[in-house]
Amino acid sequence: MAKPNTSLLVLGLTAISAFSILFATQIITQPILETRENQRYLDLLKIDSLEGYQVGELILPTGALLTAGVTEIKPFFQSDVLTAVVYTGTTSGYANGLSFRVGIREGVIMQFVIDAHGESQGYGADVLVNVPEALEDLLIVEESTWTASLIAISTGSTMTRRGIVNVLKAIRFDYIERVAS
Amino acid sequence: MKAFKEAYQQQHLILSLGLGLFIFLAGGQSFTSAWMMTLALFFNLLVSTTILYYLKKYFTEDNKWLIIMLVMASVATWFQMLAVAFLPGWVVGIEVYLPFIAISGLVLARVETVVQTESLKNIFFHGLGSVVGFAMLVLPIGLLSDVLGLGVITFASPSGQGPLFTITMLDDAYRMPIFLGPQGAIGVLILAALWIAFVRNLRGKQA
Repeated sequence: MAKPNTSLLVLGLTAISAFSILFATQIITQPILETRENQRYLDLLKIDSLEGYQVGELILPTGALLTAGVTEIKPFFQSDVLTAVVYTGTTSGYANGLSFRVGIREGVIMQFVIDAHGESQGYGADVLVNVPEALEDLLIVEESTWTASLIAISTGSTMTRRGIVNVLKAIRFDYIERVAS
Repeated sequence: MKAFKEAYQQQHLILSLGLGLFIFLAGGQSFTSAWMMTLALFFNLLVSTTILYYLKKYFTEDNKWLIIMLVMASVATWFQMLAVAFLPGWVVGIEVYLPFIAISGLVLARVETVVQTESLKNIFFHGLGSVVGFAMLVLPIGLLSDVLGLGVITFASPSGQGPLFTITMLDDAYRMPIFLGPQGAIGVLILAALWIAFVRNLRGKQA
């Protein structure tokens, strides 16, 4: 019988040990990350728990939605009916990198959260402070209502508003399509 | 203590310049990012060198580098997984960069030399010396970068529930974007150069 190659054996055992530790860590940390991720969605959709909801798989957008800057779509169902969707993405205002999350439940914009932006202080950045409140509780299908609401708070910051309006237009179209299908 | 002093004096500058400065460009808050990178470096050096110290008797010319890379990459990934799960507030923006410690040639070469030549006690002090040196360069630069770029001294909560403290230092009008984000490289390099010159000047006076 051939003598085992010690060099290879040590390497193999090290690799197996490393894999086992990483796998065990993955098992421990995965529920923590999932709970945290779900909490983000709960906050955005203003619901207390996901009881009664079926959480859909994360969808990567295509077409107009992708062009508008949406990077992730997370659908939520109740009795197999789509009732809520969270859109995440990054659009451009006057500057690039306007990161946002929007939660829509039963057709209503529950929350529009801006995570990061590069808009100028005194102009777009000041407008963005008021955007979440301006969009809260408006119907996503009523484009004229949320456009008017954004215009009312964004005098002098047309580019910033345009970025958000473009994204919401694409989201509106996608949401209507998803609910209809 | 000789090992600590040697590592502190010889290694920290290379480590900091090679590994530490780019973190400012990724993290939203430079001081917190610098702290997290320091913690990651300490953990990685300590755990990797200890494991490799006990494995070195099995080193051959064929497997030595593979084992070193395997252990370091695994430890770095392990720390990244734990940090993302338990310290989310400190890893914002830099989570993907944490394993870079393992693939940094500078760190790999250093670990290999120390593990092969030093005792376990000296390995610990070598690691500690490097980390203290690293921290003494990146923490002040991170702090200054936050003050000049964000106009605040702030430190994030490890749980991600907002900052632990925030002290406003500068009004909006005096904040300088060259210390933050994509343009931050310019400001960080200026700060690094000034800080190194300051420390060298101080050492020169002491000598």
